Amino acid sequence: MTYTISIEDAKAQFPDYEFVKALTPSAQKCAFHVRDLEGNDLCLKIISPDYELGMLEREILALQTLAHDGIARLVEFTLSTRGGVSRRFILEEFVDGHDLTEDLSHAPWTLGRLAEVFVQICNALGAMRESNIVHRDLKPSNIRVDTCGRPRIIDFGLARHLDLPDMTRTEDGAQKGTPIYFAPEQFEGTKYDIDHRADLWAIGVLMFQAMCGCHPFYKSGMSLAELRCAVCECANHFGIPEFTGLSHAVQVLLRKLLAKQREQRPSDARYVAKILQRIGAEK
Amino acid sequence: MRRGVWHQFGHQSQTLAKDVLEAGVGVGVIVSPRDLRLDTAVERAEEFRRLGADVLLDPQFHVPGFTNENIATYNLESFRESVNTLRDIPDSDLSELADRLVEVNRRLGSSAVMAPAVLYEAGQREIERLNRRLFSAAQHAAEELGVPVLSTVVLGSSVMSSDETLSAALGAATAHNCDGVFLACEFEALRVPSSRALVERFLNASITIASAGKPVMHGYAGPMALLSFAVGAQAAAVGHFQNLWQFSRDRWGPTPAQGGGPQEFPPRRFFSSSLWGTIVYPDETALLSDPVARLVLTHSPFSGPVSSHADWKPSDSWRHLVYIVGDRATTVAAAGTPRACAAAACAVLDSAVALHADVKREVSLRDGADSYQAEWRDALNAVVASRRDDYDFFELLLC
Repeated sequence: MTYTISIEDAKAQFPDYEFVKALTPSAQKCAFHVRDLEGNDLCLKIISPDYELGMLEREILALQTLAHDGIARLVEFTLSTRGGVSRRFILEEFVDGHDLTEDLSHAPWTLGRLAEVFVQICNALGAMRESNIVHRDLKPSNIRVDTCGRPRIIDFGLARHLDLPDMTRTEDGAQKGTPIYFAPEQFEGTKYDIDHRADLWAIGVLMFQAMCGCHPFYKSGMSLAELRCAVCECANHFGIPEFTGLSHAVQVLLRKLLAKQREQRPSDARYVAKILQRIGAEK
Repeated sequence: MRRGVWHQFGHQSQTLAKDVLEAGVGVGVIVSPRDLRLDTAVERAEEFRRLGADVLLDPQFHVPGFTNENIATYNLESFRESVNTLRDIPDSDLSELADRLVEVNRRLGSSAVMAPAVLYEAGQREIERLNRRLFSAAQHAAEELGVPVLSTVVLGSSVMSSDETLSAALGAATAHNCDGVFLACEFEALRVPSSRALVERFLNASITIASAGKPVMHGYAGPMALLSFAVGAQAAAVGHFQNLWQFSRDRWGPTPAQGGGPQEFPPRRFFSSSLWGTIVYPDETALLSDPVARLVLTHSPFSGPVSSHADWKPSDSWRHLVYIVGDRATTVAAAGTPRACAAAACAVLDSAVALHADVKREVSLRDGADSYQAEWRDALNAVVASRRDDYDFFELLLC
């Protein structure tokens, strides 16, 4: 179920902003494209009172810690309760454009486009790695592509700061996020097994979709158990013609990113960026 | 991490390392607190740096409860506790540990901070968590000093017992945000591992870490330094003591009391680069025919007396070993990519296997000195064949 507030109610709560349009809400946040008095375009996220405060604080901490062109910038936040009235919102940079879902519908991409989009994303992941932050929910709708074609990672609602204790229980800590982008350890491990390499797996799935035009594991109508089995055990995706027709370098890169064991994936997304840059230049 | 062979100390081997460095072999040294007091280590480190070598301090937390008179001088004594005690170390103490690491590494002029880490054991997640916390202290120290930080990954025999336990340990051990990895393994009671399965598992561990992009130093390498560069290592640490040829847990038990009598040395062994192993001098070398002896006796600046069948000091036989292993491993490293290094290493082992056949027609070698060369070659060939993606990825990274 999504958390909704009408645009009229939102305007009443935030009279200092010009409301441009309502954005797609989630279960915990109702989002609007707004403009401040200086004319800056922003994304206002009004937080559901049911949203766990600890998680919200983590999202804010993650956004505060990160400063990278490939990550939506935090502008302001408020978490307050006065007179029994809770006021919780986040203001982020608004990325005018569309999300990656639209770009993926135009697969297969050229090598140049692959490099253009994923070098930026991988460098952003590298910055997150430096801050010990794992996104844990990378998917097409969490990557906005601006009007110049530059991607930005958004929605750090499930992000985890690895230096801080996680408040989720060990047994369910791993299974947070969107299952079709889950790494094997998100299905089978505990929260201690989730690190930056789960994000690298998700990047591998997205790159596979971009280059092959299909998801490596998920097929329409698949149950969660079938998906889990495909992600954790199946390697058929490396045998399809859309994959075997790719350049050797792209195949190697995708096989490394989609290695079932996390230790066999690249240790840093910036290495992937470096290789992609060269692949893009050789196109 | 400088590419090449590093000297890994044992008891009374600092002069040896200096002599071999002066002879042109080695790019760095690893200080062993177990074997050297801090004040002496500081003096030695200065000498090593003057010879152009980098210096690293191994804080030796592998068996964290171990201590002795030397190690106690490093100001890390209050952190040497059993794993059970250490795992509850409060954050404030970790911060203190970071400060101590800064102090001791600054005095030694270390080129990087090696993280303290406990030996990884299969299924022990508290060790993974403890090592993560110890690593964070090293990371802070490295930031303070403005040098890289190396994660220490010493894999216990329980981890090496199966592919599954190895994968689980590596999954955790490679999570640290480090600038390089110091990797070592505990194989078995034998000094030189000869089990193809175990060696293959170790080589797999190395290519796994290296192909993920971080520079790897293969610690306690000994003659296995020949294989290190073939599985993506950037450096291999070599010492002459056989108990430095793998991580050896029995070095970290109570030290036996020293007797008062004259020190007895085991028979001298000549390390032959063409056998990639040792042959006893003069008992076995004297029995070789001239043509075979010419092939076996590969000389170094420290093997002069062997040519004239004169008395050969044990300390020179050790220098000779480190020189030959270091020199040949450096040649293999110069081949370039891990695949090229693998081809070079396999060529050495192929020749060694063939030469051993000739030698055995003349001499019956002691102690299974020819038991591992073919196993190593086969293990390396298997790894190169089965880890094609990792080798390819490595080459993409190197381009």
